[in-house]
Amino acid sequence: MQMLSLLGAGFERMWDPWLLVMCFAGTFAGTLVGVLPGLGPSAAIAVLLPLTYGSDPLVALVSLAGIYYGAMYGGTITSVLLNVPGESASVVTTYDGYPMARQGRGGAALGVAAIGSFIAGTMGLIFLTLVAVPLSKFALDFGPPEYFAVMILAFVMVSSLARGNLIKCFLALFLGLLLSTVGQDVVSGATRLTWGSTDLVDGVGFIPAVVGMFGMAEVIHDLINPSEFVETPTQKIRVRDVFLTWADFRRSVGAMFRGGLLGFFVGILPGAGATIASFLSYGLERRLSKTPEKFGTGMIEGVAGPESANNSASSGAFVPLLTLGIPGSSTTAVLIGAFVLLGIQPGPRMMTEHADVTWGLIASMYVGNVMLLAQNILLVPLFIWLLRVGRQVMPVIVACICVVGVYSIDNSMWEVWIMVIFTALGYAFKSAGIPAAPLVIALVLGQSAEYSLRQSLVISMGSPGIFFTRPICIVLFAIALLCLTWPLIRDRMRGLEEAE
Amino acid sequence: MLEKIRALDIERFVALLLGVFAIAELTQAMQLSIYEEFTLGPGAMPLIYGVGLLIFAVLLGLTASPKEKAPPERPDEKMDEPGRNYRAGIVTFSLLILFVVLIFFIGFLPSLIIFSFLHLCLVMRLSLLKAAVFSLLWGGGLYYAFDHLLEVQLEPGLLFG
Repeated sequence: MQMLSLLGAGFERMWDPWLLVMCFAGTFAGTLVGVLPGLGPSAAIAVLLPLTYGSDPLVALVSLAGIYYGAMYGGTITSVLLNVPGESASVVTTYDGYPMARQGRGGAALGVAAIGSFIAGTMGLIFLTLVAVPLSKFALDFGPPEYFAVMILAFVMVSSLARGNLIKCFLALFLGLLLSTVGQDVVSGATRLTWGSTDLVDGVGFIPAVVGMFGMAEVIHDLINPSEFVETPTQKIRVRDVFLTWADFRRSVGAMFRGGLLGFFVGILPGAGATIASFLSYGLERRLSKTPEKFGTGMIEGVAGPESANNSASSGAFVPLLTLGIPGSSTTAVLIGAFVLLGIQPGPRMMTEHADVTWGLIASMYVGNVMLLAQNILLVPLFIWLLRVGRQVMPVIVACICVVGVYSIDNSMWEVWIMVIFTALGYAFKSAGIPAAPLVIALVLGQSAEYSLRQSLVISMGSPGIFFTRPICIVLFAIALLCLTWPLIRDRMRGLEEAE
Repeated sequence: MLEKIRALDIERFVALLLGVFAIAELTQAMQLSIYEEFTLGPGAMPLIYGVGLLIFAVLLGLTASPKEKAPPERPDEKMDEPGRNYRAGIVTFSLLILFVVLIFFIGFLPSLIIFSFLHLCLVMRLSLLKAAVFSLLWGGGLYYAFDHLLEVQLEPGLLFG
């Protein structure tokens, strides 16, 4: 009952016309990001982050979260019509979506993706609503030692479960942690690692860093490595083509629910995310099908399952984000940064200390899903037109918004130069295969982790034993240790299996 | 082969850069106290993180191998290969620096227009007329949105300030 009243309060806040406008703008921008190959949701959120700085937290978060889950919808359009996935989670949609478009059934593929995304996205939100309250009650027992343990778990998870080798992940993590210590020490007030510069007393700004690493660096990387792009869609889509026939709906409804269920649980796991959920769902549908050999030739279940799974996974990713402050991907890492900048620390106490924002955000996702369903049925021709005209001017648009947006935070050219430095660093990281997510999350949570550690030591009169006498800490550290050693255990098990 | 050498070089370059950065920060951190009553001092964590960064930079430098290069973050994303459009990247980054320098001298509005025009002509190969029209509209529109609608005091520049 408490959950329903909290959700009801969230919906009440969503009646604010300005919030509805921002929800629409966020989901529309997200769909556009998904449509345009190259720019991903993490880059889009990073680029638009400065524009939301200083505004009402709920207004900002509603639009930024809209970009995240909206991108899951938009990626389908190019996957189906051009055989080019606009977003990684839509790669698998090309397998059957594009053949469907070649058979003149592109409208049906887009329709099933939109409806599947809506059903599964809403399913994911219902699960999120159900688990949010119990987890928030559990989190009331958290003190500084538990906070420190949660942050260590976040660092370890984001580093050990990211793609690439551990050395590179931890290199990025330690760089982020070191940069988080630059500036005035929160406990003693001493200035640290500033090299005498007054500009660095406030530390290395999160926004310039994230805009440079995700926004500008991605633009440059995409200019150097352009996607192969088919200029002409294989089929002209009218709005009426997108409506499903009863036969198509009956064939795909099972796949939608299975994808929704699978996607949510995969989405909860840090490091897994929407892309893996969509591939797993495709495999599941193929295994359950009476005609698996026909997959890849235009099977509607091959579109319905993965598209449902990737949307549900994006709802699932909000569970560790909202309840523990742990990001599952680079996009949620940037979102955590947005929360912190807006004065909200995602994690155990967020559900109680910022209940209005949390439940307003969850309610906005229900509303956003309805908006996305309408957008992806009614506005498909518009998105295709924007895809044609937008590609050439997109780098200029992104670069200009990055520079003006970063300057506007503090009216400071220093921040703009920091962004330029992080652009170069971001490109070097991408070229060397070093993930940026650990650096970003360390930059966001580094200072809080240090503060929690030092507070905990003060509570225990300097004894580190405090972390090993509290049950929640022990469990969290055990999970962190498991995450850290899991790649070694997995390799050892594989080796044993091969030996047998 | 070229790609393998390039990947190897960039990894070692990043490792060297971060290693030097770690040493520089460690020298600063060592001037701070590492212990205070019942808790850690302001220098403790920078010291720990600096040592961690140095260790992993050395490890990356020693183990750098093109075979270990991480897969792209997005499956549709292509890894850098020779023959890719490096010119576009270099020109864009150079224009970005020029853009920021120009802001200091002539302010945001002219800089936005010049950057947009040059990028559209040099990188995106748009016709002069199309590039000029878009740059004027986009630069002017963005300036108006920030300066007038959002009331952000954008830098007027030395020349016009």
